[in-house]
Amino acid sequence: MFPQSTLLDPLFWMVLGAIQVLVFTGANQWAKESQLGMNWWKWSVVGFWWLSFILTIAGAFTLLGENEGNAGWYVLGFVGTLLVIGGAAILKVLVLLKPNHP
Amino acid sequence: MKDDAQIGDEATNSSRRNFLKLGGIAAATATVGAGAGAGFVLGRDPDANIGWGRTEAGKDMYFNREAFEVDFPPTMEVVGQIERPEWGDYLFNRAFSLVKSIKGGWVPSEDWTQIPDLRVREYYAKYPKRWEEMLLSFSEKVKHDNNIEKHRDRFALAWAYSGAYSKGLHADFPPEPTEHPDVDDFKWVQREPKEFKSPKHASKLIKQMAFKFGMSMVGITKLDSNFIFKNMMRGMPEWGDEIPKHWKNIIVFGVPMNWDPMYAAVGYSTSYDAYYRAKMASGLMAAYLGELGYAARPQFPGNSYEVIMPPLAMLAGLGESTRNGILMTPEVGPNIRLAAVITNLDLEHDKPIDLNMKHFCESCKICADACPSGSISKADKPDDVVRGVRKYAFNQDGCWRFWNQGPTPSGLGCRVCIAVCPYTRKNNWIHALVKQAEPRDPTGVTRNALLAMQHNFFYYPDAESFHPEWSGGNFASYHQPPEWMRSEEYLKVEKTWEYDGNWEGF
Amino acid sequence: MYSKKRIDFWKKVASLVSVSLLLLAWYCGSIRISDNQSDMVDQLLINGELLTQIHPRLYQGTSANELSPVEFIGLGSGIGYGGITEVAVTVSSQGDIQRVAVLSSKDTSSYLDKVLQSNLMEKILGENIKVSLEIDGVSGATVSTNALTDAIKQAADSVRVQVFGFSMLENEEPVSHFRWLDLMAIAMFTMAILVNKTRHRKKSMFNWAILLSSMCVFGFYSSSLFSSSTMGILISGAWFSGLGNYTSLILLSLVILYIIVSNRNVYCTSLCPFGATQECLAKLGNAKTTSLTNFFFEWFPRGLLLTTLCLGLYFRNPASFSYEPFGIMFGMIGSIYLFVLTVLAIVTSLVVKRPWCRTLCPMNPMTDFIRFNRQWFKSILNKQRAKREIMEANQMADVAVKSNEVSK
Repeated sequence: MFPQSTLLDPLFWMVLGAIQVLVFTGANQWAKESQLGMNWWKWSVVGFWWLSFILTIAGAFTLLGENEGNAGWYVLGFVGTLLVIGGAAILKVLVLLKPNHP
Repeated sequence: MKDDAQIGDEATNSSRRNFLKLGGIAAATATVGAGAGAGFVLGRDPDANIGWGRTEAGKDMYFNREAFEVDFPPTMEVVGQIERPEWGDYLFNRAFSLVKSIKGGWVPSEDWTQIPDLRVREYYAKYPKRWEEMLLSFSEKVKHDNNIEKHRDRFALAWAYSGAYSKGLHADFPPEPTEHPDVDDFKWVQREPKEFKSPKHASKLIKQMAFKFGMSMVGITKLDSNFIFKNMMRGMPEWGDEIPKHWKNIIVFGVPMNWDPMYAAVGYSTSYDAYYRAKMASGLMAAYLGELGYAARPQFPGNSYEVIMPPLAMLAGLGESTRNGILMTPEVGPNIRLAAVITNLDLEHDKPIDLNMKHFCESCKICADACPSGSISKADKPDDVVRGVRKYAFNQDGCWRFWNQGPTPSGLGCRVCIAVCPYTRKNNWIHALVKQAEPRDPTGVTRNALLAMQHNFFYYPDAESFHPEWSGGNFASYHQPPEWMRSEEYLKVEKTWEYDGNWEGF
Repeated sequence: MYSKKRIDFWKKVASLVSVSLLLLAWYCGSIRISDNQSDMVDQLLINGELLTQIHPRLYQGTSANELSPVEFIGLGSGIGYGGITEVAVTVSSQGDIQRVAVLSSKDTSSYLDKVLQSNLMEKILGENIKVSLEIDGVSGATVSTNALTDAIKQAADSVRVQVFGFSMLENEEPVSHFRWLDLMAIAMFTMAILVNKTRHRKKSMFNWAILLSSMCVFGFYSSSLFSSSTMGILISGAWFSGLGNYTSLILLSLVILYIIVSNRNVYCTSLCPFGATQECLAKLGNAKTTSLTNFFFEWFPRGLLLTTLCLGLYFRNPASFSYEPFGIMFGMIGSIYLFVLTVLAIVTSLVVKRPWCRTLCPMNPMTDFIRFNRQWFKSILNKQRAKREIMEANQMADVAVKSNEVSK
């Protein structure tokens, strides 16, 4: 976020990394509450989706930042839409594979 | 009591759970925002401007070529007897000779057989259609000169930038050879030669020095005589086809043109910034070799060569040959300006590389579609054989004709094919990822997906819009000029124009 | 609130105003067009200075210092998505193509742009017309490409026949345009009617099957679903002189006919590819049905459709005026604004059922318009019949009275 800043840039990335712990504990809490029965592969799918989502947003904005306005918005719209649909699909699968609690 | 404690526990548990749930959402939102923000500033990051950022440590040449080394460059497909280039094959030789003849009273006509200089005539005997383009370049130059000053308000800062580097480029360092190469190349030698531990050591040091002298990329190869001009030797009025004995190896290096002006080709771009730096580096390198006791003959832009640079750069592993005929490197695409030093120092040679660029150029064609003079072939496969090597047909005289139309004060240069090339991208993370992935994918899926995006998502002005207003365009450029080249931001001028090109999109 | 009768009155007014606006746009459009063809052709001269027409489809350019003509300009036309595309080709006296210009086109501009950007026209510059012309296709815009290609070939042939004395144009059969997709459209529509009529317990499954196949065939494969521009083509009569692709027009006509006959719209529920897309996404996201019985959502699309149709009629180019996300969705063709609209529609479909259908789709205003007028027409008929019955009854009564009197 602060490419030419000697101090802020590494701090930013550390904080961003730390925040991810919050993201996933929060997600874990939601998953528990809706009794999704998460396991390793379910978490990897969700994690991979989250990574792709953030990278798509960052990538589109990188294009905007280097003055590729058209391409930036198209990438965001196109890949972003695909990911949103993919996310809905993953959610659906998670709900369908919910273990039956006695 | 026990029950109370349990209830209390449950209450704290539930508030803890709520905290985690809401905290997760807040953190996710923050991450999305941070992703967008970090992405944007990374796109703006000057560190991505290869050659203008982290050069000294040699970190511009970030692509690890080792995995792609081959014995012979795949884009240098030899299909016949390789011939050495003639004096007349060199466009500037022809152009200058013709100008000289015109100044001497000759009036050019549509009949190329009337060209006074035999060497020029021989070239147009081979390519009679190109004479029309050369002829047009004269009338277009007149049109250019009559119109160019009307647009100073718009281009004042761009011309000043280009002019400054032009002055630097035309300074007398390194000096032009004035004597026989056997004498001239040794003028740099100050002391007895100091022997290197091995050619490997020599190459390692020389490459580091190229970086220290400001070059982004460097490669070393044996001086292949196939790419040495015949009948041309600076400092000698007459020359046959002999090659000086001490011309053993060639150190080829280069630097990209400054990125934002280059993307704003034609009017806002210049080659002089990179020319200047490459030329200086060749002088420094020659002097450095001389200090260690070795002969050196710098080859540098704009016009001081005995060799054709791109094929030698290919042999030195810098990149591959492309549709637009310019050397394409994995780091900066075709945005590279080369210089070199020929030396008698024993050096370890680099190997050519195979980055699949052959297939990339076959399916991309963006440069050919954007070319304002239509000089680049749109064929699916290389469709010409030049001096024994298969290449894409390229009409150098058509290209030169558009140089004379371009809205630069000198009326020289275009650079549109460089600006629009998908490989000409700054070194930020998305392009770095792509450039690493594409050559490693043997299936071509990455290439096709990327090119589909290139063709559908990116905006390219029409070939005609790159033209100046007086020849039917609107001064379009692939990117709009950077803020520091917009005269309306700094000078007392009235903005009467609109920019056509990519911009940040807000 | 207004009474139902009052609303009905205003609807009748609106219906009449719409029709008159469309007629007005058509009329104004015909005033706008003046015969400026030779003006346009005049600008296509390259070396010649004087332009003379030597044939309805051929001009020649002569220059002052030469007697024989230095170049020829041939005109040709091809049939595109929205009607006729006209092209002028400038040919040197040796037969080399020097310039190609599109004089007029009725195709959607984004499709035409795609063809022009592909440099299809630049590639044939310099080719000699004495041999047959090789012209590449452009994927994603086949109909516009074919129109342009046909037009160029025809224009070149105009020159060829008059100047070089031979023709190389293969005569195409007019029925070649009627392709399997058109048959498919009719078949699918018939199936849609059957599915809607059946009381089979697997009715909804049938409906899904037909919806999905329509999405594949008329959506992703051929992108031939109809839009407001098809409606424009239908009412402007541009189809009369020929179209490059009739599939969407056939679909639209069938839909309209069926609404008129049975008052039912089967297209939206069973055939619309974009509807199918939204349905799929709704399934994926468990979307909720929300009802939008808002005045704005009812009347805004009506106004929008009317404006679009009027513009299409005025500029005699209905294919250029449409606002649907279909082009982007099924062919990645359209402006960035349509792209944004498409993304919005798609993403919203995950949470709301058929958001596009409920807001901007021109299908609702069209259906409403037809249904309303159908009803109105019927009620007029009914009234007349009632009147007639009353009159007849009166007459009968009269007769009876008279006969009574007589009998008295």
